Amino acid sequence: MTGLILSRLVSSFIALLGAALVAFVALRLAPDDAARLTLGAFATDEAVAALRSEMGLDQSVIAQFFVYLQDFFTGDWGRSYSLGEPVRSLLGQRSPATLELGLYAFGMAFVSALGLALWGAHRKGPISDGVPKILGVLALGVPQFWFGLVLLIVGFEMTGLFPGPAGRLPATVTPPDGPTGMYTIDALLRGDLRTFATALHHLFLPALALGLLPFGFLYRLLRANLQDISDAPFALVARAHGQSRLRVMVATLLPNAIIPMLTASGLIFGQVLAGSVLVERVYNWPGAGMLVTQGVLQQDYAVVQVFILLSAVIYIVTNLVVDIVAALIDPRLAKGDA
Amino acid sequence: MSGLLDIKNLRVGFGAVTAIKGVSLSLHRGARMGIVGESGSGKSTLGLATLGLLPDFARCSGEVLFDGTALPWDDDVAMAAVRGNRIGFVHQDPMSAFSPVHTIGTHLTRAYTSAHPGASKSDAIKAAVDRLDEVEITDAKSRLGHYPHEYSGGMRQRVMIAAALIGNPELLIADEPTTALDVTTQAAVLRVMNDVVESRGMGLILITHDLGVVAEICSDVAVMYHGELIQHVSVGQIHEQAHSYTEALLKARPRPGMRGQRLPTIAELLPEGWSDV
Repeated sequence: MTGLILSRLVSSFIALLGAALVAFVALRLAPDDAARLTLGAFATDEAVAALRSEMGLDQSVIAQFFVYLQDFFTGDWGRSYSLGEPVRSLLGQRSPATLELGLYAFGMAFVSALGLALWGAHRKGPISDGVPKILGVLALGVPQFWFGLVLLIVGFEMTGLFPGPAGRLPATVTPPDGPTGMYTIDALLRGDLRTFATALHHLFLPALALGLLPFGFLYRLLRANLQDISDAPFALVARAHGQSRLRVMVATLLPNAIIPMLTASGLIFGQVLAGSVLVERVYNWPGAGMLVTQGVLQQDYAVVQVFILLSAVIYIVTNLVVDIVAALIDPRLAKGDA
Repeated sequence: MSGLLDIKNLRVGFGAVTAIKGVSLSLHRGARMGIVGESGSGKSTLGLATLGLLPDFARCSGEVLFDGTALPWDDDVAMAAVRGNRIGFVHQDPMSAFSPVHTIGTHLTRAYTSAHPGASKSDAIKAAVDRLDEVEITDAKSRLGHYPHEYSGGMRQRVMIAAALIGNPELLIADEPTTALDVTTQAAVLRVMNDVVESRGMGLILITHDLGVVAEICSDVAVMYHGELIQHVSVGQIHEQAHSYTEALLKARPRPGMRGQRLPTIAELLPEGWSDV
């Protein structure tokens, strides 16, 4: 197991360097001069040259790359020229909103995929198995922003059950102060159940919209794996030992079938975080996705490159965690021979 | 006299194919019956049908009385109480009959707690160690924490026998328990199985291709052919009153002194209903 963790750490580090290189090169390929962008079209050439030298743009590309790496890992992420604030504080304000939305969306998707796949595999009826299967296919085909709008129309306009696209909390509620920046968690930490409920109420629709696609993917994956594995001789033998169908399903088949789902979860969770832009847009969710869209549109590359690298870090860390969990479940993975 | 197991007019169909065509068979308490036949003759289906473990799409009729009571195939919970507890099962493929992500100890303790609901964990572990000792797995205690892929094929097959014994059943159904093993391992596994069945006075149904194994271990032999039971005699009588098919099977065995000769074969007959496929 230690060997697995070490080798994964090394490969994670290499992947991170690769991601940094891609983000760096993409930035250098952009035709605009960062110093000129910052100072505007009317600045003198001398002022631009002075800023270029201050930003290190007059050094060699390789030297710039190392400075860029050093800055990233020491937390000096540069300054957004369009918003005039350090990127670090901008992302610090926005990321918790995206992370919270992503966690709820992914959590709902994972739990419902797990439950429905088990139920359908256990009781193969038209309701228990047929309906979720159709739902799983639809989930993969429905565009997130469209589904988000439909949810708004039904949940807000028609029935008024949920708040409209007004962000994370109504203006009348003071956001809870806390270490995570995620309102539901901070509210719970402070024991403020009313704010917790309000924040959850606001989260529900966007999380549903964002969670639909991962639900479809994870449900189909687990359902197919359960089907495959239920024909394995060890399922028959477990029943021959006197274990009930349900117990065999949960205790024997599920641990075997869930490993591909965990592996996929690592990728999907990263995708949910990095791809929440459209849903954030529909729900006016003040997350990192919105910040980055604006950054791209305004050629504010300082924001974009940090976001790319941060997404890479999230991908790599979640996949590292997933690999370790999978190896804990299946010891053959720890040895690298399965 | 009612036996340990009475199969009465059992019919099993899968789709268009009838795998078992009205078989009646009974087994006395402590008797050891070998069921022989070609692949596809319905002998494995017979074992699984008894345990109520056929796939959902199988159509079953007739009944199987165990200790005088009809087995409630339709009631999975009631059958779960019979499986492992009163009838043990040994699967033919030791490589795929264990869940690869669970330890041998988990397999055994789960089998134990299914047979003894509410049993404590330490009781289950003790029973697991005792059964592994019984099938001659050395150093059983430390081996409980190992995974199936760390065991050899012969060891796994002995563990499977241990797991089948852990609920203290009165009957063991072994479905070609040695097919997947090499010849020396086969002999060792069969000896272990024979020993435990004999010392516990259990009934045995041994499903096999191997007439030699039947002669060595079993008291009775049942011969199946295309879903029908064509003969059921005691092992000693098989040569005296062999059915023509049984005779053909016996002739098809390799024997000393046959070097250089072709083994006799049995003309292939398609099962009924297959001719128009």
